Amino acid sequence: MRVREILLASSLIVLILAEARSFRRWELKKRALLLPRIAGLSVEAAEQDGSLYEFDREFGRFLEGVRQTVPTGSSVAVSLPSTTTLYLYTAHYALAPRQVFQAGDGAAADFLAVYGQNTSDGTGAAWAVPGGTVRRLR
Amino acid sequence: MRAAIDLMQMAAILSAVGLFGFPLVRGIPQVSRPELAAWSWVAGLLALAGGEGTLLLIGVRPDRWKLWGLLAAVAFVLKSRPAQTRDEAAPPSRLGKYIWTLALGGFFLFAIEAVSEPMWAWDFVAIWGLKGKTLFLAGGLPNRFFHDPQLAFTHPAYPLLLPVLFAALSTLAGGWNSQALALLYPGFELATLLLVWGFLRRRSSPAGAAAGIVLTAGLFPLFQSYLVGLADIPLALGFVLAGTALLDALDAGGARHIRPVLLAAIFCSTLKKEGSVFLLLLAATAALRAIDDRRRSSLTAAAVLAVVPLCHRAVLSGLLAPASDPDFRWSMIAQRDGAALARRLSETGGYLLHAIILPSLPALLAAAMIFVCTRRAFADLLLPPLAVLTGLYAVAPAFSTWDDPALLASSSFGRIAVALVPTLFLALGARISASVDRFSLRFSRENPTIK
Repeated sequence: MRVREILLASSLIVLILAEARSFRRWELKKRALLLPRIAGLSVEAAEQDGSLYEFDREFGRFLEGVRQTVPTGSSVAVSLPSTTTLYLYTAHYALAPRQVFQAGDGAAADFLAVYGQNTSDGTGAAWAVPGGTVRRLR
Repeated sequence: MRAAIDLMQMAAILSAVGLFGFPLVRGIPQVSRPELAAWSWVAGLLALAGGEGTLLLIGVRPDRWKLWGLLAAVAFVLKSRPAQTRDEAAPPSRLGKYIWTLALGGFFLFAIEAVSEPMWAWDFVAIWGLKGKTLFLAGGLPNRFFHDPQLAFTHPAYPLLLPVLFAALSTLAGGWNSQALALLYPGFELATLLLVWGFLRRRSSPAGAAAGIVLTAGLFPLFQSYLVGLADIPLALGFVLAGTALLDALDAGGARHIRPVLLAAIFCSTLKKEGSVFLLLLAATAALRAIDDRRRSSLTAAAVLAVVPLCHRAVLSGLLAPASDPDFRWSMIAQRDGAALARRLSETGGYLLHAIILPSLPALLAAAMIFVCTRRAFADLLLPPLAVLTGLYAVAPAFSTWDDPALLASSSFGRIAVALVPTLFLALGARISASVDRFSLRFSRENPTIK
């Protein structure tokens, strides 16, 4: 074997080793443990238990409550913590195809969903959902 | 087990879609069976998305029977005359079996990561999944997705193939299930592996194919759970489709080689804007080749590669008139002076050097060494477009609307650049083939008794 052949073979080995090093074993372990745990759950429950709401599991339960309360064709203003845009993204995704506004941006929505406060007044126009309240506005 | 049943149903749907795609691509001359399997699947997905998109555009609510009917009609009307497939008649060697075992190991690791839970990556939630879920549940994408500044985070101008595919597969499955939809992604990886293997075995040698497939299957920065639900993994397949189709069209000529170029161009341009840029770069490469070899097939390939993304952009703008990309607004970019641009370029470069180049130095040096140690091969034609696109990715953050260009580079460069790597590995496999063949010949001459 000449120098060139040795260099080619060793470069290939280095490249494959560099790829192997980039493999995240902890990620695979996490998912291999997650799969059997959520395999029997409904898709909605699996979303609640998975990585989507890792930043705030209570918020996932709140959105599921809002989804079950607000009719599909209605719009909803959601009062969100401003700490991260993840609240905004997950609200839009979980409540699709409903039109979602951020509460306080002046838009007229059919419902107002408030996270973190129970403002239900028992009048029938407001409902308590896990982690918050949904109120009919129109 | 709900997930197992859902995943098996989705696997059956994806396989059936591939069967419907077969009549559309069986006329591609001389491709091997692994390549034909990948092309069939991609053609089926495009036909499915086309059917769903057409129904939505004419205001008809898609259902599974309409979609299956449309797929069957498209497969019948657009079927091509069968071409002879060139396949290795010999059974796979022992080395080939080891290589595939290794590659399938990488594939299964990714498959477990991909389908372990409903898709959750942030760009899926904010862009691709949100649009797909809305398309499926609302029977269309409301106008606000293209014009409402509150929804700028969904990137109104992004192509819609992926959301339409999510919606179409949900229609066939009878509900929105982002865990079952995630099965698309191992499918994209498998199709990429089949293409790389089949193409290099056919056009180069088993050694090059082995190197190409092992390197591609081990590309964990691309095939990872964070990118499931995004357009980068299918785009990597699109780049390989476009690259191999162009190489065949340029080297073999003939009208029948244009169909795969057309399919690859539709797939890339409707997936992501980067796909369109890559097609235009490939078109320029084919045009330069046409000047050199004066063959009509080179010119036709160049024309197809250029016209499809331009037409797609024109149709998208004409039909939907989406708001411009929030990351790149020319009015804002034009206000910056030279000093500001230089500072932004320097910030982006500094980030790329410290966060991408230095940590990847062993791999980059090894790849560079492979290029130094091998000789020119036919797939080198793909290297200039890959290099130019990587350069564009690197400087783009400096021209963006982001106050901190390094932040945009940190959130996008690694993810979008790694989608180019399977095509790079394809070129690398072809070079290794050329050199290994040369080494073997010399070795045989020096040791005439050894064959």
